[in-house]
Amino acid sequence: MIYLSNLLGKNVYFERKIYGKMVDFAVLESSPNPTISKIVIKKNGKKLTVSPSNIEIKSFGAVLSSIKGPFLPYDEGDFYLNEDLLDKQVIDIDDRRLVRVNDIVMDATNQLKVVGIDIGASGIIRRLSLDRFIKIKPKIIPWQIIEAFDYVTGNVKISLSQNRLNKIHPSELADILENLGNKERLSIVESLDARSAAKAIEETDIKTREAILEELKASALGQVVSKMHVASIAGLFYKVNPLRIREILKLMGTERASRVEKILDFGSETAGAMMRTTFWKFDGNLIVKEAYNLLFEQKPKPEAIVITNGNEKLVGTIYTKDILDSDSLAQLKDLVSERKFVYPNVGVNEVILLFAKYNLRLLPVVDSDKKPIGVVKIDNILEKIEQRTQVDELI
Amino acid sequence: MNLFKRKFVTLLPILAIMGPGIIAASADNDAGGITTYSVAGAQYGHSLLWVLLLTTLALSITQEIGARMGLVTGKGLASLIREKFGIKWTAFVMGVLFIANLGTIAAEFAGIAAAFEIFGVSKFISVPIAVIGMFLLVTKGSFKRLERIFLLFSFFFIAYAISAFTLKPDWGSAFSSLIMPHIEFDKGYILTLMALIGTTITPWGQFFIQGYVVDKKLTKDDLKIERGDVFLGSFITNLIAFFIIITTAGALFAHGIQINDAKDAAIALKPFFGEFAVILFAFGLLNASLFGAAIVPISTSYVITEAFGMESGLNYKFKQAPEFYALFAISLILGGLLVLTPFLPLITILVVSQAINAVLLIPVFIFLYLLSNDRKILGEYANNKIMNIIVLLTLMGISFTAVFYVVSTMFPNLF
Repeated sequence: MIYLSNLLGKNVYFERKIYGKMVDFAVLESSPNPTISKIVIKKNGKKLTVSPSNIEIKSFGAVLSSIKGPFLPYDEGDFYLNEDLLDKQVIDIDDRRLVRVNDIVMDATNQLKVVGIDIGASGIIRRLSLDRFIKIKPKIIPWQIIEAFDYVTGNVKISLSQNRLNKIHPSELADILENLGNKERLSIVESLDARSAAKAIEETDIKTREAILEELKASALGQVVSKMHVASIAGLFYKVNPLRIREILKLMGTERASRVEKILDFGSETAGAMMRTTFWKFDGNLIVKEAYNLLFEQKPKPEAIVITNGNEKLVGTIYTKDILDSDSLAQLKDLVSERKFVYPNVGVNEVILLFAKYNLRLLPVVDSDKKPIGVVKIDNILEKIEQRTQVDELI
Repeated sequence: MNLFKRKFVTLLPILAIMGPGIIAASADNDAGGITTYSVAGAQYGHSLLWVLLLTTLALSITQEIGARMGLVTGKGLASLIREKFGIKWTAFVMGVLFIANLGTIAAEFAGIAAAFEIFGVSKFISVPIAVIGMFLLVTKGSFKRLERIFLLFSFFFIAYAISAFTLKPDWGSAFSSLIMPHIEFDKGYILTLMALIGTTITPWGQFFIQGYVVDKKLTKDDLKIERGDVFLGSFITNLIAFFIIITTAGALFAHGIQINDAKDAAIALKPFFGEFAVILFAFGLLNASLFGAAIVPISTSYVITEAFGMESGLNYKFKQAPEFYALFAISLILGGLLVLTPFLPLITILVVSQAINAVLLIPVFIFLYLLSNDRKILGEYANNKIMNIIVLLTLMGISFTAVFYVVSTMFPNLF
């Protein structure tokens, strides 16, 4: 991968002498993966173009293989990367201004080809020659999704033309979505038909999927979720903001929504799917008296409370009745009676076994940092067992 | 009360159709504006009035160019610079703009501080509150409504006109000073002259007018109306400046009173408003400063994010356009901090920041000149000769004044 900014202004050599400077590149923009058709060299203030086959790109510049030519005069009518594309505005289908073409990404393995445009701050940093000091990951829009160039305003339109869309595989589209910024990503999803959008979204990584479902406009969201698999929505259940999930479930209709819930209860047989995310949690540095005050006005009082250390990490659980029996100045962390916990990916069977073996009433579920994210209660275990027996009966 | 209410209601639609030119021009008469005009009148009487005639002309033409480029291309000035001159020049101009705007923002907060100091509130209390308040007001509130309220209260400036007539100044002298240029080879005089230019014609105003026209989605068909709007705005700005200078000249210069803090500047309104003048002035200064403090920082982040192709706009959430909000916050905070710097009197900040603005206009106008003559961009709407002559004369005028200032500081006894 090579950036346009790395090439512009570099010397062109012929037989170890400087011949001129590379100032621009012409492409045939209609092709889906356009190759460079001409390289523009500035020599003594005049612009000449050479075919890329006559030139070899090196790290220090470029080398001409012959000066016999053919050299062609600069043709205003061509599409040039520096003149017509670099620095231009990228807009979406609704003509909203988005971002700018900060750099252009090319592939130089066989032929010099245009791969995409860099719209991130990385492009700016690179062009200001600050990339040695500041490292930022580039944000690249692949060429395939650039729809059109507006020759009047110089704007670049992004969105998927239906024509190109048919050629892109959902997984390829998913890669594209993963690499884009939020705004561009949404504008692409909105421009797709619901079925392709749903397929592509399902292929993206969980973070991208989550971001898309969080931010998509309600109108588009309804269509997209209606085409998505129930299971993949269930997979996002605890990732997406609960209000949003409620909205999504509403858009899915009662029948499909209840299937999501069923998958959550049945299908994904893990502690994470079973846990309840609202639960009582106290800092272990509190003393009994303080805990007592906190509990005093609560009705009904919780049966057990999750205790954390100062850093939100789990210490254990404590039963409310034990608090009542303790010295009022004792710290909660010293009263912890149960230190068992599970990770959300632990299977339901193991969770049930734990409950049975240790006579638990409540079991905290923690994330990889050992921070509690939910609890499984004995009630949930009983429900689970009950559901299973029903299923067994049905069979 | 009833009558007032009815009047208020009939005024609203007029405010609603007020164009970008009028808004830009009203925001021009901000804290720095009021102070610079007051100091000019108090210190040098009528002798700087001639500058106003020239700045009216220069402001009308440069604002017209900005509006025209916006109408024809549908792009802001920063966009055009970026697309024509590439990222390095853009970075340079944005650096210049940021420094100039920081000065202006500092001036707005200095105005707020000065207004509160009249009532004995320390700047260490008023400025931090204003910084936080502005951030919340602009990001959480309705910007358009805010703008209209400030505009409405800009009618405060009528007080100067009333005062001017009550003072019965020597109109003959005023009008002859308006037409006859007069130069004093004195550091203070030249600095005030530069500040007069820099407070009327500003780098941010140039970016603002073009951005506003683009935002309103005006097209070539609106050119005639927009021209009228811009010319009217420029005229009003300078008419107000004229009255401020006349009143301060009559009320302060004639009695040998100098302006050391905002209270002194309020004396200009005493002839008609008596003891009420101080409160009226404080209110007017506060309104003008708040107007500026609302508009300049947010326009800074609009322009810079636009130039560098970052997502921008108040309709984005913080997470979606972090650079936009960060820039807004940084310019507010830095501007506020400049005011709180010890040993810098508020009046000095207010005047010097305007003079710096004038100097920083030079690079901005060079790009404006080049772009507005580019037929590839503007086609038949490119500048005509008269416009070019005025822009070039403005550029030369500012440059000469700046050089003059440096020379007069280094060799005070040259003439």
